[in-house]
Amino acid sequence: MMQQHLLNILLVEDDEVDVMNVKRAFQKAHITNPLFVAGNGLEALELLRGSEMPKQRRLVLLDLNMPRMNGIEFLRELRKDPELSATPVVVLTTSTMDRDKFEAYNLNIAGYLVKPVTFSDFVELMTTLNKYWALVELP
Amino acid sequence: MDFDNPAVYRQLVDSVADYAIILLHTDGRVASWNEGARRIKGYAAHEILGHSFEAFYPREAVATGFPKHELEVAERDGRFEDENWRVRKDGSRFWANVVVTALRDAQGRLVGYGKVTRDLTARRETEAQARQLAAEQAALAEAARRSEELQRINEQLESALADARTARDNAERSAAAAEAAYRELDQFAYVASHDLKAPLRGIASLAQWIQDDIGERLTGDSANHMRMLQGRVHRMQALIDGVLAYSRAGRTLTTPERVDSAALVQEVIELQALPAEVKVDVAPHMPSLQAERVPLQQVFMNLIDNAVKYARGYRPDVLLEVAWRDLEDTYEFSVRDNGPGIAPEYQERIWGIFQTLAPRDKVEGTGIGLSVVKKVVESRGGRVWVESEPGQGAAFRFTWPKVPREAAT
Repeated sequence: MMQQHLLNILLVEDDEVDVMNVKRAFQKAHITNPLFVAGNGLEALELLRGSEMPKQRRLVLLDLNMPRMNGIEFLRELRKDPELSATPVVVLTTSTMDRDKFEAYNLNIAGYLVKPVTFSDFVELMTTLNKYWALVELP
Repeated sequence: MDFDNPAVYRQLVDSVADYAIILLHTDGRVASWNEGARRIKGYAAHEILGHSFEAFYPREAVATGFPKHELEVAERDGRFEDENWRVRKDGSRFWANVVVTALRDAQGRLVGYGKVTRDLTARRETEAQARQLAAEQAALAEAARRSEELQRINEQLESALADARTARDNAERSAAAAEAAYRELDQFAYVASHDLKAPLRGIASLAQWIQDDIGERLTGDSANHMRMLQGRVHRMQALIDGVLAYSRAGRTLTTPERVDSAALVQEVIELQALPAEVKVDVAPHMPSLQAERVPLQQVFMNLIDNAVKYARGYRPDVLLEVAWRDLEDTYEFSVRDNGPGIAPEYQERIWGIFQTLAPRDKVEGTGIGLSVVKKVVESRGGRVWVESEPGQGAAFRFTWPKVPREAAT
């Protein structure tokens, strides 16, 4: 049996209902990982640079369409920061536009997920995501 | 002067240079010769006197007995006049005016003939030249007239061409403007529907959580309202997805590939997961063609989905027939159902976006499917139409070009 590591997840999402969605999905799937929430890219950078969130085993779940600093702008800032540039980021968005996918992958995202329509699908996605990242070796 | 003296007359005749004036014996031999005769015919008097006057005629005229005929006419009528070709001593021809007169003695007996010949070659040539000149002038005038006419036609053509060019330029400009407007509209529809989806997802989630959390405690109207709320959310979701599909229907031109339409239709039927009571009859030998796979599949899918949806609400034993025809440049495909059919007055309306013929709560239609079909087919250069009578089912037909249009860049 492989050792399962606890992940520190940062959800960058401006829509309150979507945040609740993730929280409820975690609850439903019995995912007990610490969940940090930022409403946009600027808040996310602040959180990542501060001391509130553990520096180890971080995973960012990133929405793209947000006010003030959107997901792509956040990724550019993140990759420029030598302290944070290795942080794994998974995009979680409603956008299916090719341009968004290209730009995001060019900024070294670890995955691109389109938010499922139904809650049960969302729960399943969160479960799978959590299981996968528990197996992944992180810097 | 003694004018009765025959010698005087002889002198007069001898000295005439422009007319050949000669006497012939009754048998046609030459009896006298003058200066005019020498100049016109070329013989000296001693060369011709006593010889037959037939020497002056072309061979073909002698062969037909014309000279003798002249004398006969002159004897009978007293006079013969002719204008025709005659021959000189050197064999050359000249155009002659000839008058032959019968000469008789006091008792009326024929003693011979007087013959006066004039050379009209020069005049004839002048006349011919004049005629030719006139003809040439007429031809020139005609040519000038035609040239003018051509010029006029040319000007008309050029003006028509210029008009056509202007019309074409205008048409191209409007087509480009329309194209740009359509693209902008598609883009707007895409962005708007995407943005509309976000709050809708929120509503859907919130409704779901209320249902999850206190669903069991909801009673009566509230339970019903919750169910309706979720139904409306799903319809809104379907509408937005429809707008997205519609906005993409025309613009996403993909690379054409070899498509086996039989396999494609089979795939569509399997994807639809049709209920057992629905039978689909696919005509044999469905063609393979060079086409964009996804849009063609989308057309079949929407037509079959539409047919099943409406036919099932009408009768339990639904039968669909998929058929095809080869129409030179295009294939015509059809999907026929045994459903309720469509009255003629509604047959135009069904192609509009958001148009349905059944109450939405009865048949789960968004009114997008057929509008997408129309947009996809027409953007690929085909045509789509319906043939139906109420109660007789409906046949949806569309054409698909055998050679795909050039993919948009």
